[in-house]
Amino acid sequence: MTGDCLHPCLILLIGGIFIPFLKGRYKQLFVLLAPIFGLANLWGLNVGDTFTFSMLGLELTPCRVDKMALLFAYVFHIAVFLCLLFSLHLKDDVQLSTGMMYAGSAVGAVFAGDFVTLFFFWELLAVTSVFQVWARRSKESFGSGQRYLLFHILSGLMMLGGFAIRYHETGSLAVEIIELKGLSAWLIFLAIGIKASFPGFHTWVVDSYPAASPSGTVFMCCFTTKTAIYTLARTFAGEELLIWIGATMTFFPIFYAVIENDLRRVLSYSMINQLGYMVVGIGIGTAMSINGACAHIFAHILYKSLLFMSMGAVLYRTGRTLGSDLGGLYKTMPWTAAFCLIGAASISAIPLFSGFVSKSIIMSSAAYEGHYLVWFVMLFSAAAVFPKAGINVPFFAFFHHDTTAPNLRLPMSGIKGKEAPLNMLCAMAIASIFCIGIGCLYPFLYNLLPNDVDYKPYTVAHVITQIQLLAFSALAFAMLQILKLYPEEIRSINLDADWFYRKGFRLAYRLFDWLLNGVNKLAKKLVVGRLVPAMAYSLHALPSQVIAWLQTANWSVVSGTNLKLRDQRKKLKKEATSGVFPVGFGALAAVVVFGLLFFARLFQ
Amino acid sequence: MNRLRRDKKFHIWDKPENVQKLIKGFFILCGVLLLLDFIPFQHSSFGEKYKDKNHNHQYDPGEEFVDSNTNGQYDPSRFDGETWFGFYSVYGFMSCAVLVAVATVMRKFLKREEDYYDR
Repeated sequence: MTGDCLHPCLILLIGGIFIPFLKGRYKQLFVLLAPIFGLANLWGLNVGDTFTFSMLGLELTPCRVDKMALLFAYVFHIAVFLCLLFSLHLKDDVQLSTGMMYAGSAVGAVFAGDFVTLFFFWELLAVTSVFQVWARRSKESFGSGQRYLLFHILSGLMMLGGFAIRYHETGSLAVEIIELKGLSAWLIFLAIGIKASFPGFHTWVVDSYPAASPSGTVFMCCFTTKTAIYTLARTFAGEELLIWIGATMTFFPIFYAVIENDLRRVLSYSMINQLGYMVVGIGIGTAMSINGACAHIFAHILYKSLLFMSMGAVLYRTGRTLGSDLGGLYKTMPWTAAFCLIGAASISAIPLFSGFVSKSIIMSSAAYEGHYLVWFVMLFSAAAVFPKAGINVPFFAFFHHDTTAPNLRLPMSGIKGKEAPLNMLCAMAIASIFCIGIGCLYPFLYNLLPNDVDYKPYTVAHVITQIQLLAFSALAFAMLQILKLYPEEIRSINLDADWFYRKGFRLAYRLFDWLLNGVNKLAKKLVVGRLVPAMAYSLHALPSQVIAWLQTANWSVVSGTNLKLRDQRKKLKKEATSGVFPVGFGALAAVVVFGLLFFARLFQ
Repeated sequence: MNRLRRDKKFHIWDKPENVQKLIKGFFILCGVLLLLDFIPFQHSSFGEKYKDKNHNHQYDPGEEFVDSNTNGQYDPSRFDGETWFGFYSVYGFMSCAVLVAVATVMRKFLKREEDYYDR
């Protein structure tokens, strides 16, 4: 691109195309090396580099390098390496190939400096990611994938509409801070909102993530929503509405998480909760809060993928992720259990784990700026998410009732599980090292952040208060569990906003079926059944009636024929019905018509 | 059966005593954490920005943000509950309790059979 390196997305995008042509060990080696080459390629980029060219009269900037873009590119490359290592055992070329291209499109979107390039990668993200859902090859995942695609195509179209109107209004295609005013800004805002799972648009996350294949969910949790959050930071940083949207996102999903049975769906809800913190950080919009959002994304991608990997390993080995059907797996999968606990400690922001050093920046910047209501909501979510994502997920999967031993009282007991495959364990181990490494050696992460901020997460007050908050939240969980007041994991689903389209659209379909097909039936009955025959009848019946009426005088005067008047009429009607008249009668009618025409012409 | 018994020896949480010990240890930890609040290490982090207005903050170069509630002035009567005794402990405990209470009520209205959408 600039002579010494390629466009950062090219290695992953083109690498993905090559995967199906390779076999066995070569394929595995290639799959692991491509992200490493991609990461090495990033070292050739310098902050401030831009690459522009003109196409169809538009000035495009497919690559704009700054600290924020580089940070995201680093974490996306690490994430895709872990995802590919986790899926290394797969024979499914489509999943590996689209997975690598999926990461490539996320990297492309991050470096996009104009909306045309962004739109291209935005759509590519949708198309390449849906294969991760379909890869599970079940009826459920097929349906879920289609709903997923509908959401993302809608998002793409809104983005297209938004920037087209904006280009018409301002003549600018640059991805820059936009004021949330006017149709174009709102279209772009909502397009990003769909992908960033704003409240109401969040259902695709909790619908598709649990339906995807064991490794598919790991891919999906890393890229789509994070690209959207990045784009939000590029376009709407400092928009106050985002603070409230973000606060809502931290708040409502945890209630759903408590009563949800599918552990991967629990993680999906807690992911929306974590995205909420980032959206708040972007909404506050100060250098410190933007740093917080970026740091949190970096940490989040690693611990969330670790949690989804551990659940993926459980699904891979036992074929289930329902909390009601699992338990006691720490005996057969001790390593997976340990890695899951590290991920859980990170998401709960326990000191020395990655979530602590990143979430704190956002919390502190909300407090510094005096957003105390939002701060209270976030503190509530931080305390409340701990029992669910931090304790409950590992507890129900690996501890709780023992499903590894045969037990007559537990219908799903006797799981013949064994430890996850080596590649999965390696991926989880590396992610765990990152989680602890970021938590302990936080300056490495802070140095990569886009703005220069002096922030110290490890103060005595902060560490003690955080441990107090989490310990007492866990205490409440323990007491509720002992008193048997904590909601049991039972086989069920819970209604969410997707009811409106999954049931509502079906209702609308039925309503339109009744209404439109009813009109159709009525029209058929009236028009085809009544009107047309009546017209057909009248076309021959009417002239015969008129002629009969005109002829009545003639028939009664000229009684040359021996037929009676009634018979004359009958004969005429028969002639009219079959369209056959005596030649003389036809000639007479023609003469009359010509005569009329002649006189009409004469008097004109 | 023999194998099952042999397995049990290796697994620490199969013994209810161990679980009891863990829970007891955890309760003691919570007690100690609460007592830590007697040490005055806390200060309220609210409105730091307004307090430090005199010296330039590195992290806010634009300094554009104005709180509409206070017109940018730091209000000392503002909430400082962070510094109260046991604030974080009570808040943590209540968060989980409220969460579970609300979720239990929510479940009554929102729970459906697993094949609800396939019907």
